[in-house]
Amino acid sequence: MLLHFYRGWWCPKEQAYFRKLLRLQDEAEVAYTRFVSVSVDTPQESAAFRAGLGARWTFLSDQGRRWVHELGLLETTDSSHNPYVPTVFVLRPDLQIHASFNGYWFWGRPTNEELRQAFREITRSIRPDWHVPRK
Amino acid sequence: MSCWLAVCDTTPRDAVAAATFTADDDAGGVLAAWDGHSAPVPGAVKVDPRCIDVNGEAAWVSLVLAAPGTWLLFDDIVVSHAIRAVLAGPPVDVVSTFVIGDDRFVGALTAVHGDDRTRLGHDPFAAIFRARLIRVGAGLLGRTPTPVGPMTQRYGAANPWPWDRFPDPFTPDGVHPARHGIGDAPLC
Repeated sequence: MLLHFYRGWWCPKEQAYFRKLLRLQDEAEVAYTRFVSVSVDTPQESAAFRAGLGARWTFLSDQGRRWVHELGLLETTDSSHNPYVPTVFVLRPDLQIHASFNGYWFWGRPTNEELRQAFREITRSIRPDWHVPRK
Repeated sequence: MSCWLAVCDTTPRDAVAAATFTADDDAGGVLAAWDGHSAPVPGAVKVDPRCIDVNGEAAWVSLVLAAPGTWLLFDDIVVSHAIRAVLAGPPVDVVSTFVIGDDRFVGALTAVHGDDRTRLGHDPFAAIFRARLIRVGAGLLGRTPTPVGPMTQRYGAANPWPWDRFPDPFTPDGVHPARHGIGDAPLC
């Protein structure tokens, strides 16, 4: 699973990064891989942003900013929006963190190729039939 | 083990859940559900087991069902496109594709509880086979978790989308999915 925390619909860096993730969703949809994006946007803003992007994965709203504090992901340098620090986790099926990426600076975010490699590593480790079964 | 759904004239005695339905276009009937390894009655289709709840409330349902003898391969691009449209759209209370055999798409069920039928919106599966808008009574339909996306694939040939767990490989018969929980199967 890709667990993606983002600042909000209003951030140009997030818009740019979502355009990258959108290119990956066509692969993820056939690869038993799920995406979840979380922000402090309201549910209505999240739904509109999701529809405008054409994203086909789950967007969650932490409008009440409960989880941003619980997770320690508050971007303290933005006291106007108090958003999430852009962060990406790649999770194993048991929700153990396989990889994490700090996107406070844009280049810290994972490339699609880095995500593919992470998904490959996880799938290879959990699938007893990673190598084609032979009769 | 699969979960089956069928349209019947009367309530079957061996069904695990059933409810009457009414429709604007005709007299209605009964929707009934079973657990089993094979179709309990002619015309029964496999459905995501999380749809079924004997304590479920009444619901408006968009019921898409292929005519007898008609089906599409589940991997047909028109089915994939409809699933993408479901994922891109607003959430509903219940959604499941219908499957017969291991790979044949024969329809879908989309439902919202309560009185507001407009929440059903446009059913993407209605572009594939004829859709009927029906009112289903209490005692059959539960709630399916909103599919996470962007996954469009089935987890095993026997399982209609959006069921989202592979069977536990260490359980001899596979994990029978709990109708109200995710069971012990791996997340993905």
